[in-house]
Amino acid sequence: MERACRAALACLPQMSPLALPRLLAMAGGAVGLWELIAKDKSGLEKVVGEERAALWVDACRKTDPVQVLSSLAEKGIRVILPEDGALPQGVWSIYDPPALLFAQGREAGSGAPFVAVVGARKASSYGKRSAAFLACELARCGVVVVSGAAYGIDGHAHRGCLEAGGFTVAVLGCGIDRVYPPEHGPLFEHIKEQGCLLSEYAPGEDPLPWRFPHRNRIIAGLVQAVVVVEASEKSGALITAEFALEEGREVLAVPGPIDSPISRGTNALIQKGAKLVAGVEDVLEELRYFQPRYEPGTGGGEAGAQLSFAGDMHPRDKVLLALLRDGSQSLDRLVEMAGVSPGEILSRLASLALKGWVTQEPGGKYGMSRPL
Amino acid sequence: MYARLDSCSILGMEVMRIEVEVNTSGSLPGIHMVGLPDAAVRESYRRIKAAIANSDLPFPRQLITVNLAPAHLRKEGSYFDLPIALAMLAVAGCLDAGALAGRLVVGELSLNGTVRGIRGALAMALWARREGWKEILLPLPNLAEAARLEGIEVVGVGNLRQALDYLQGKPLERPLISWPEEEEGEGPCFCEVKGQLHAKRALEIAAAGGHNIIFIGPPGSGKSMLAERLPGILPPLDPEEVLEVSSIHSVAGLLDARRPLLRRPPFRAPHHSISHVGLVGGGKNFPHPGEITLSHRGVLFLDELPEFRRDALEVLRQPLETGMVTISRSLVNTTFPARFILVAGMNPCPCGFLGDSMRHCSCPPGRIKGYYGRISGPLLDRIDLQVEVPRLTPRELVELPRGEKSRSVRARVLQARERQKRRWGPRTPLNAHVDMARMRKSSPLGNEEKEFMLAAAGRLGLTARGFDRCLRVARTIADLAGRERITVADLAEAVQYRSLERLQGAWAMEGVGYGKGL
Repeated sequence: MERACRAALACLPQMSPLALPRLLAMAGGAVGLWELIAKDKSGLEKVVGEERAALWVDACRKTDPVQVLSSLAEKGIRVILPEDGALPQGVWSIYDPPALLFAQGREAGSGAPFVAVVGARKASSYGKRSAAFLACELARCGVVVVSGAAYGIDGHAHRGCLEAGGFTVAVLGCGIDRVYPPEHGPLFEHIKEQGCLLSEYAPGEDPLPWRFPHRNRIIAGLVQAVVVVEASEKSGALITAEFALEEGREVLAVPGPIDSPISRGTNALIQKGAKLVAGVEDVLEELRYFQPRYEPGTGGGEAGAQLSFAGDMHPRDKVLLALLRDGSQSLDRLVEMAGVSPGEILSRLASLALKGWVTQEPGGKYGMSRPL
Repeated sequence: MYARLDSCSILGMEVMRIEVEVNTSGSLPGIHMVGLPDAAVRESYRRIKAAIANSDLPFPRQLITVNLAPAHLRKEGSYFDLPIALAMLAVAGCLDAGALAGRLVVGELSLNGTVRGIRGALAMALWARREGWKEILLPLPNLAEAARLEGIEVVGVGNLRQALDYLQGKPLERPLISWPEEEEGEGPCFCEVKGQLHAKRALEIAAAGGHNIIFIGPPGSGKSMLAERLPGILPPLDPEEVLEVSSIHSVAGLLDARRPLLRRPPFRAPHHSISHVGLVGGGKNFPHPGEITLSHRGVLFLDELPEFRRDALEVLRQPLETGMVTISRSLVNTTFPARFILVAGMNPCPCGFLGDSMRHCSCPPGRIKGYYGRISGPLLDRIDLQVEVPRLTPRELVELPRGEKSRSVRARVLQARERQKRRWGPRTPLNAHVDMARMRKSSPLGNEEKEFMLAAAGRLGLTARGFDRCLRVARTIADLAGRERITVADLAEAVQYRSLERLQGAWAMEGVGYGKGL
């Protein structure tokens, strides 16, 4: 009954996830609060205003809490309470903890460490491939990768994890049945199959701008460490890092080129003492008492120093990849460095793109889409 | 008394023969003007009366009926002042009616008898020559346009008295017309654009094959500068095209009296607030050419493409495909030529700095998506070359060497056009417009090439039309290289020019971009 009442309370119109825990504390439990509201004896109009109180009284009288729970279950939505032990306990003990979380998808196995991989929406190809690479390696080691399902770094972190067959958690800033951004529909489906979606907002709630910074506290609460891949100075990912610091989680950052605006935030984090991530080992080191399932070491580091893929590749392609490994380049720079005509470079880049080595970035630049 | 003479008028781009008849009958003085005249024509009576009086000539003091035939066509403009005046003078007995036969007369009168210039004089003279007229009387200010036409006598008259004298058989003093024979300078040169090799290469392809092109780049990256240099690398207009293009500008009243013929491909850059009528042409009763027709055989530059009104952009689709635009109004249907190279410019995002190395973009992703969404897929499909233009750093601007001159790029373009002429025939379209079936037949792809295109189409999500456009661009790239066979390298380069589709796609659904074989 407590579970049903909590779910029903969270689904009340205009209920704020920040207010709910306080109201519960005042009433001494969800069942009590529900009954008080239904009898219109809560005195809530002094706390939340007459209008909202009247709305709730009305809604409470029309609703059966058990019905709410079963209709959520019909949609495949579970309600997770602190005492369930289904999620790392840390998420319930942050400042302003959620009263409950809605979940869709599978249940996370216990014991696996949670790590957040977050960053800019407008990421460079370097950021995207780094996010996917780290998430993929972490997943192989048995780590659960948490992120926010946004464009750019978040999306690629989820995809990297999914590709390695890992469990990934997407924490949403809207109702759990809403797909935002809408283009991530297929990604959401995939996450539900192989991981889970979490949200503190009632189903159907809109993705309002201020909800995203708020859900970042839940990302920070769930994990042992937050890896920021790419972030500009005002990025939401830095808010996640801030929450993580306040809650005593590890904050790590992937360094970027000093002339890239979307690396300023991460480089600044490193300056302030965040751990620099040069490979997946750096993240694993921070996860205490965790034995990785698999020995990392294939990606990054020394392996990249030599072009390991000789064989069937066109010699010009090798030259181009060697140039792009140092960072994304504009066509003009490539022409200058490789000493080949623009037409020829374009055609080589196209064949490299087809093989999945190269992507085009905004600003007319070409970058590598996966590590060598 | 009765007199008649021939004149002409312009409807859209077509010239129509108009018969002017004047009849007087012995009743109270007055005038009837019939034959669907519009306001400008109806008012001509007052101009004519004043002009005749001020030229010390007699005005018939009877009831005058002026008829403009054919009677069912609406008559517009001030072309008929001079012909009506001359017919009246013939009725008044100043002129032998036989002197009016076999000539075309057009011109507007001012109150003191001077003949004013009109729109479309060149188009009329060309039409008259085609129709077998021996002589056309034009206003003196328009003489420069048509003076050098062979096969027709073009006479320019300065005032009503002169016209009368000439028709009475007195010799006319012919003014010397200076007609600049040589190219009037080269226009801005390619070499002034530093760096931007990608964009320059794309412009060369556009010029060679007649492909449309869009530049995507932050403010100050040189999109307009690049676009302005496209006419300079196009082949100069041949004599027939000079007349065609000049007569369009003559109809629009845009010819410069000092430089009456356009010898270089025109360059038009309308502002993005333009209406769709301004862009494609139109008007209530008498359609006039729009910007796309004024840029016929030249370049139409639409900067800030997403800022153009959606309806204006959508009407571009048909002309881009067919090279002409048909305007249908309740009274008339007319067709304007519109075979131009579209050069469009746009920012990479609403604030303009997405992907810029110096400034940070402040747009939320949703707005960027909306910005790209403003350009419809069908329009984008017709833009073969989509190129991102990065902004150069101040250091690069100083240090980079000057580029290649327009003249040497134009030489390559000319060669590629020669190849196309040999393949498609002399007066046929370019690679960008030739019938797709002919294209496939004349340039079949080998197995390797087909495989490449299938892989590319799958990866880039090309539409069937996008696929065909890539083929056309590859054809032009091969022509520039002097090759008859299209190779994988040509196709690969062509595929690279679909970057806007890729950007749109990137915001619509982010690719995985992370290979499985780690």
